[in-house]
Amino acid sequence: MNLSAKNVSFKYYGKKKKKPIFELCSTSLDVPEGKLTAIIGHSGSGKSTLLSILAGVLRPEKGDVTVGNVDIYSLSDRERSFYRNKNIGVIPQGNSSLKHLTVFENISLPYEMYGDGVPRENIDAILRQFGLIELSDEPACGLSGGEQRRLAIVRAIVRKPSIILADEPTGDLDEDNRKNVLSELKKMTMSGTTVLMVTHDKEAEGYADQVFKMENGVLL
Amino acid sequence: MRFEIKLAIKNIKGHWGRSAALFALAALLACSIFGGSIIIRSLQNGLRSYEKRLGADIIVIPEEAAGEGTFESILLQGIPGYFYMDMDVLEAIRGLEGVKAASPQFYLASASSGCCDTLVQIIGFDPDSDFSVKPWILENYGKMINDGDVIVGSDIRIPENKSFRFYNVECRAVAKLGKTGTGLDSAIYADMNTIQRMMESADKIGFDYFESVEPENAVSSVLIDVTDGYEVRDVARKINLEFEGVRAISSKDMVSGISEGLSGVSKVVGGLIVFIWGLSIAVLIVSFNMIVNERVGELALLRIIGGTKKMLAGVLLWETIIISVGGGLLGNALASLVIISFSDILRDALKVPLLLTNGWIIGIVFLFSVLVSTIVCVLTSVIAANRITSKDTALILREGL
Ligand SMILES: Nc1ncnc2c1ncn2[C@@H]1O[C@H](COP(=O)(O)OP(=O)(O)OP(=O)(O)O)[C@@H](O)[C@H]1O
Ligand SMILES: [Mg+2]
Repeated sequence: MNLSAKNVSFKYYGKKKKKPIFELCSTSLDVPEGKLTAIIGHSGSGKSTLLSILAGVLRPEKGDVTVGNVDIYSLSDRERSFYRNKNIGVIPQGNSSLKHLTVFENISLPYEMYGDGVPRENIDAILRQFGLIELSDEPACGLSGGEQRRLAIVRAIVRKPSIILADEPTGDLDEDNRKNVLSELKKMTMSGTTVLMVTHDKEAEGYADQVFKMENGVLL
Repeated sequence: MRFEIKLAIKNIKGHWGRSAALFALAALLACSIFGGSIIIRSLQNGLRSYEKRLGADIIVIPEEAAGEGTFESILLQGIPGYFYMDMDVLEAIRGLEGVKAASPQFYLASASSGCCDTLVQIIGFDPDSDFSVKPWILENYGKMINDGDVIVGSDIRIPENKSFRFYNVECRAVAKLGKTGTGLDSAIYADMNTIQRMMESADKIGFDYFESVEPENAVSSVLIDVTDGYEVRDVARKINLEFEGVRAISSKDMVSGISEGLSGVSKVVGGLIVFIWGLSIAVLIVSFNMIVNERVGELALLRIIGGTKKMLAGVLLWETIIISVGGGLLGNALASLVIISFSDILRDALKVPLLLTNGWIIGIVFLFSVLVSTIVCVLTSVIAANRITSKDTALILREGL
């Protein structure tokens, strides 16, 4: 499934509302199926903002985002959320988990949200692959930075979504884990998943089939 | 179970410190209106039953008893007491214009020494002329009591053999009266013959109650029923002018004296409720705002994995509902316990009649106060949640959230 943005723009306004403190200029982007795509760029250049727009959680002021043939911002909030739940796996930047739930409960959330059965064995297998199986029943608040990162990755890829949007998936990870994550993303790309990742990591850049650069809200 | 409810329960358990604080606030909100309204209602109820049990338009007592407050402490606090005046007053009052009926009562405090079983107030009445006690006896016993029988107030425990001994006079307890919430609940009623025997026997074994009056010529009070068409206050005033050494009090005045005192109590209770509510609502608004801010990351995550805005609001809403209903129920249960177990102490402290309202009114007020406090909690949390969930940008996951 192809993911594309056409002429999307967005502004953040500061406290005073008058002048935007950040502007994502009219941006167009194609993330084709079967190619691992990466976006690099300085901190604050707008990479995460673009990713949020592509994920359907931040409505652009102008422009469209299409996933397959679906213009996702023409859907209602309910439809778009449901669509995201089933088809888009998002790995957010930084820590993201419900800290008081266990690792397993966190992974189960996307299933339980719409009453889908929780496939225990699948989850256990992938937790094992990412070295989290021992921590399965531990509350997420006790995890280290790297463990948090892997939890977010597992949560996003466990359902085998057709689109994966990863914001610095290798941040906080050691050499082995980085390799593990990147090769998994590569493998998923080759088996037909559309993967877009934001990264500062030179090694990750090496895995990518196409690389875009973001600079001050402009995608080059 | 719905996802929102399940997650709400997990969130409550996961943040038990925060939940407990909100739980306590909800409990405070509910129990303040519940407790406040039950107390106010019970005071009104007590006052009504007090007026009914007095059963006379005017009560005439010796001047000293009025001045020293002995009479009030017998009626309101159940502190046994006695006072006497000369029987002549009774006949004289009967002759007055506007007096339809007049009946004497005799107050005797039992002694705590060996001649008496318990320390109580004994009230004697004259079955022939009585109009104030008889209706209660008929209601609770079905017929008039005989010589040697006593009827006891609701707070008095009747012993297994049903017999009491006062000043060596054996009495049989035949029935118990309903609760009034006044000192009369710890009184014992007997007819004139019985009480005369007690008085004489007391006199014989050396209790010197009757200072200046002869035991057979003594009465404690005269209860007056005023003829229709006459002003109760006028009749009372006339008695006060014409008779030396006695005081005629209209029962309306007695009750209104208390109810003036009560309106002060009601104001204090009302003010306290307003204060507690103002404070709790302020604290709730601040805490919900803080909690929602602290939880932006959590909400943003739910959004990212496919939660709708409605779902996020639902999770927050269910958390608030569960906490405020739970807190309200617990708060009210505690308040009920406190009120029920301390109502007598409260009555004595306030020196007013206090009669708990009946069960189903308590039940309705109980549920109503839980409902009101839940609505308030939900409204304050909705305001806070709305600020977050209505804006996309507020829910963007950023490092550090
Ligand atoms: N919710 C928000 N409200 C206001 N400004 C925001 C918000 N989110 C991001 N910004 C601003 O928009 C700009 C772009 O932010 P964004 O997170 O997209 O950058 P980024 O390229 O992902 O940076 P990094 O590499 O550090 O993650 C920044 O200047 C940031 O301060
Ligand atoms: Mg970023």
